[in-house]
Amino acid sequence: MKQVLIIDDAATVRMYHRQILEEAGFGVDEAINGIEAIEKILSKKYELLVVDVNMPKMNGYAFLQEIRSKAEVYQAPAIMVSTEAEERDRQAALQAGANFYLVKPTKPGELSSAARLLTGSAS
Amino acid sequence: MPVKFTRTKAEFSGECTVEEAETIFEWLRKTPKGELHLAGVTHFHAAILQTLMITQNKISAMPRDSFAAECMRQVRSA
Amino acid sequence: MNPLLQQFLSEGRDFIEQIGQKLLILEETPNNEAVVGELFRFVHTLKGNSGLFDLPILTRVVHAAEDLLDRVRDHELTVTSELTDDLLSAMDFVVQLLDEIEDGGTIPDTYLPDATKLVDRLRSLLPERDVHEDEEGAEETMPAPTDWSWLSRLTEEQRVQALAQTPADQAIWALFYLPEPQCFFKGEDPLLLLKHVPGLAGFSIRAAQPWSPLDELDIYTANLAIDALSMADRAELDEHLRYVPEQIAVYQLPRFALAVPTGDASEVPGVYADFFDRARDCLGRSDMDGLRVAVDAMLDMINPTLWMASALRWCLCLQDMGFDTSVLAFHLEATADHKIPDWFLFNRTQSASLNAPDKQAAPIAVEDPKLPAGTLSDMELALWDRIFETQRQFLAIPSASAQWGGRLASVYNTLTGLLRAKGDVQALAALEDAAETSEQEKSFAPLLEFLDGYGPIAVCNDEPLAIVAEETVVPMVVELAAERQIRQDRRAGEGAIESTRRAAEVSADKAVRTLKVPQEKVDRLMDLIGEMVVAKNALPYLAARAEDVFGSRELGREIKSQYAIINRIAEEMQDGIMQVRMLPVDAIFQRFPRLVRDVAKQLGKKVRLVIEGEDTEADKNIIESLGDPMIHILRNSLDHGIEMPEVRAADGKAEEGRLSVRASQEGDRVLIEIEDDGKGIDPAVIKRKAFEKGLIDEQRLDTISDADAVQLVFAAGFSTAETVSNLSGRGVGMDVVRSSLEKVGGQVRLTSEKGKGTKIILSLPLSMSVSNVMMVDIGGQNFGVPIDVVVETVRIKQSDIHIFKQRRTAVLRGRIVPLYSTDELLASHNPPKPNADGEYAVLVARVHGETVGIVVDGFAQTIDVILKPLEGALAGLAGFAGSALLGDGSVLLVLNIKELI
Repeated sequence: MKQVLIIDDAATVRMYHRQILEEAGFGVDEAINGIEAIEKILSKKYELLVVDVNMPKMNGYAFLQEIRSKAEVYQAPAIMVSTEAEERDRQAALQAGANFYLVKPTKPGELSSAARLLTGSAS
Repeated sequence: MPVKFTRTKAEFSGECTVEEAETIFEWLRKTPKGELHLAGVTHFHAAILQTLMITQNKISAMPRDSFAAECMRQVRSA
Repeated sequence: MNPLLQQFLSEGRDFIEQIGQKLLILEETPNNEAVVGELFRFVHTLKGNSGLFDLPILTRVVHAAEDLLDRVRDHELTVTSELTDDLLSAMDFVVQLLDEIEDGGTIPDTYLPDATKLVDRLRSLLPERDVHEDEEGAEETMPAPTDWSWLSRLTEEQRVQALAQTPADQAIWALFYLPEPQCFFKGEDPLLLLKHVPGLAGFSIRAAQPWSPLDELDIYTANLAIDALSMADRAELDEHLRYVPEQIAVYQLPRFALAVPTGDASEVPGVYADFFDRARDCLGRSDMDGLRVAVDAMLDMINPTLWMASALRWCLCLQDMGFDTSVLAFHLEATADHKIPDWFLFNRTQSASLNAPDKQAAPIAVEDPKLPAGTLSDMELALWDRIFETQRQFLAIPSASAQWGGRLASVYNTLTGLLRAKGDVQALAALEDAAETSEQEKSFAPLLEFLDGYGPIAVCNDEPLAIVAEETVVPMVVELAAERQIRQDRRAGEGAIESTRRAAEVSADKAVRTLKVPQEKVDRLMDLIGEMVVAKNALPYLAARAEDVFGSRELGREIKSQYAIINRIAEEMQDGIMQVRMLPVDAIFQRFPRLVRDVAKQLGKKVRLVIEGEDTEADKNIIESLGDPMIHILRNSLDHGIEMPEVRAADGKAEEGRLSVRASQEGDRVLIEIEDDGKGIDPAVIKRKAFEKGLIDEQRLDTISDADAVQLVFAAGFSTAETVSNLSGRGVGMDVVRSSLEKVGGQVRLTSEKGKGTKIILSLPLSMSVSNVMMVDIGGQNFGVPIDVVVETVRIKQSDIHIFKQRRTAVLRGRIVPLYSTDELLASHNPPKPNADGEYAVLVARVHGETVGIVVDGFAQTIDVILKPLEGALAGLAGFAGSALLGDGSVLLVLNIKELI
């Protein structure tokens, strides 16, 4: 089973994304901020990261930059999820190291399909 | 000095830089009847072009430089 | 109840509780940034959560509260008790809504009127957005215009010529340039830039806004809107325009868009109606010869200066160029209506194949055979394309060297996933090759080529004009230490480390003995030696205990002599490891010649760049942190320092300006001097500007010395024309230069002489790992203060301390120095105590260029420590630079004086 890490400070959003991804056949772990996420990534391989922007301690941008500069970890595709729909927010996400951007609230079909496509899973 | 002023005429030559804009602007305001002789201009800074856009002084000779001439055509034909 | 909704309710209640608490804290301390940030995040997250459910009433109320807090965060709104009341009552309302959801699963519509009233109330507190928004907007990519009527301002000849010169299968590049109002002050000349646009084939210049009345007009505010046509290719254009990307939109015009009639609009009554009927008839039958005959006949009849004549000539021209009947018909109908054809509209309604038929065909051919039909749904295919395209944009973004490899790998993994999902095994192999080549060449180009070859070519219109700064990637290269002992002093170690650039030049034989080591491994060594240094510091304590407690002087001496050996080895080890991290400053400097040349050329200035001491070495992190600040300083010198050649000549200077960059090592610091011989900084101007911006008060305005005044350029908020943007890496102010250098323990000084030039000196530590701190006694506890802020330690008699403007001050060396006591800085209840002679211990420190005194209880020794940032629950604590472990196992908190004051 392919493993996904959801990084979000909002428990409700984590649960929502977990439901969608589990239904799509992924194994799901959660982290509540970038620091916790890095610890998890260092000890386990994830095939996909679903990253929130605004989090305490280490936000999504800083987390992505940190991960992208770590040569020893698997560079999993990352989807950044944010409530902001503006182009510059999308650009900022790519700049930080996200490979795709989805606007919150994410549509269940969109998130599950994107997850499958990014991890090369058949639907 | 790339711009020579007399009571009735301002003669531009060479490259007119941003530093001259203020002087030119003052002269144009004080001398609405003064004519502009632009034949010798090789380039004017955008700030200079702006001053020429807003004042309506008569142009007695257009720049020989084709780019400068085209700029004048653009700003004075509208 | 649905578990997700339950989760939402319980988390929501938590948030509201937190929001309530934070609001109350804010009411007490309205400027507490950390609390504002947290508060905003709670409300923001609550809004995000509510968006997962269909709860529009709740979402609206929370959204209104979020907007208000957003303004508070931006300092546009201050927290007053009135604002607090309103936000609290909004949260009470939200609690009611949550109760309703808990009871009945939904929010009754009866809440709607109250919600509307509440939202209106909150909105009414929003301050009007002022110009800031516009400035922010200017940072974004300029949208391409949707009105192409400016083309009519070009002459007909210019357009006919451009049309004739463009091959039938290509579009023409156009640019829309809106110089920002303050651009003249940045040394930009929009006309100069326009004049040298490659392949310039015509342009239009207009006033961007109506002019203000002459008396109020500021001629140094740019107010121009420029459109231009270029025959050059996109790459050339981008290269030319790369310094002003946020002011320019580059977009493609289909060739037919040039067909815009111009001329005298007066009518020739009665002659046209028959003509249009006949022309329509010919077009309907695709009788091109017939159309031509009709147009020719009409042209013979009317005055060539007429608008109608121009329209007819364009009709012929479009025919000559082989455009199909849809284009001709659109042109004809617009002409019949006496209107300029809206080619933008026409182009949008037509398929893209009209202007780029060959580009369209390619991707279809590529995709067809490989697609195992039906694997992906239409929706998935659309998403697939979006993700694919995103990778292209991702690669176009400049990235820091540290992240380069990770970014490459993430794109590779993403594309692998995409291709697998499509079942395209063949492309997977090509992808692997491309990624490998990218890795080897340290360039995204091969991967981008793969993308271009695979997918449809992106329509460039809406693509941002990103400039890919080709940053050289500088991985650490360590010479295999087989023959060399690690134990060598810094002198002997010179040359042991080479930048990759040099490594590439050495012979293959030598290359074999060069190891690439991931930075993490070296960092681990660094951490270990740090612990070692601390551990060895326990030995002197042990020696003292052997003497004092166990009464054995001999053992004490022996421990001390062993300590001396371990100490020496540890120091040398530390040195050796630090050497591994050292890079020559050249790693950064090598970018400068190109930068200076390009910028100087663009500004029309003559500049000679002199670089000295480029082999001076410093820690990799230090070197990397130098790049952006130095580029900013150099740009500043070029923009504002060095004058135009003719100005220089008039001032009796050489036409060619001189910009020198010198690096040298001085003790344990690296000094970098950037000096220009330009016009210097006028202290009077700086003073006035600083006063206008409220950075200094009237009293200071009168007393500040010229040397101090020029330092004000480093003050936060001094530079306004340039807005800070971390993401784009452009347009930072000098305050950002200073703060980014300070982060790595650096300092900036500026000296300038009006008319003679400016010199900026950066002083940075050689390495970041060891800090020298002074220990001070505060309330019976030791604290560390980084030695580089300490000026001196003095004792001041109580009677010499005066209250001045509610602040205690003392006169030191002829200057009035404000005194801060540690109990107010650390919010403790133990005011510093004077010694038996009634004297206070005062630590004199330099903070933000000012001298301040800090009253403490006493001083202790200075020591070297390995400073670690505070972690866990303490991480957010302001006022501390970090903690350090002492030899006796105790922890020393190191103060950050700058944050405390």
